[in-house]
Amino acid sequence: MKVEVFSDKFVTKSNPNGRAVVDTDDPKARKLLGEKVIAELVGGGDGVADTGAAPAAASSAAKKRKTR
Amino acid sequence: MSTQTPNLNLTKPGQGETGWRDALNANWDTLDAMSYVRTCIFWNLLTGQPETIIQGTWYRQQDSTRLDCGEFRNPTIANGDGFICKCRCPAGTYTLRFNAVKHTDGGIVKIYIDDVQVGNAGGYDLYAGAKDVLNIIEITGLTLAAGEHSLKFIEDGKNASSTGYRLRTSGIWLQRTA
Repeated sequence: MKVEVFSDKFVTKSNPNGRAVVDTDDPKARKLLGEKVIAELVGGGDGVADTGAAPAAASSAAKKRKTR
Repeated sequence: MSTQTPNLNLTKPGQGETGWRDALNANWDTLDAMSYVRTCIFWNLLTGQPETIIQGTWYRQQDSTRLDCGEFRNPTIANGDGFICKCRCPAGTYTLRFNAVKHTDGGIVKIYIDDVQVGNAGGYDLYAGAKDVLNIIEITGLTLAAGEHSLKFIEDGKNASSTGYRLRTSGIWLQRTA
């Protein structure tokens, strides 16, 4: 799943707002942004659940990736 | 029937001249000083983008329960997450309004214009035990000089009951009032 994000991880002099389109399945992006952020990008919703447990959709996606 | 054009002291490019950009830039200060311009400045963060990210990761999320059916928010929910929007405007007195959803993970957002804090010194607490999507924050009496300004939104602290430092917004509105 591709998502447009604005992140301090991608801020450079020529890209001050850190805009990037990331693939949530890309291991590099997952490592850079962190699993908590990726879980919300994938799971969406209110986002509140991410402060405790990952949303169901994101947890399920993460499990699938682990079994590959 | 004739119409009158107000004299704005603008330099009109000569016939055949293609340097419209240079002509416009040369008159930029005059344009800034056009005191009658009252069109509001509006940032729609669902289709637009901030000028600068200070900290955190931000993205837009579609959600039919929100004011504009979506919001711009920070899944990093860390203290210090923030962004900057920039604009040019004529000199005058302005009112700033923006929506900021209250929720159980809302932080305290502080607003700065050109690095000077405006509005409540303690910021705006976005924590609520139950979701409030209609929360609109208004700051009046902002005196701005003509030219470019930066509008900074930054998470700075949180309510003891909140689980994070979240800011959810979609629309920021700056209107000249005098």
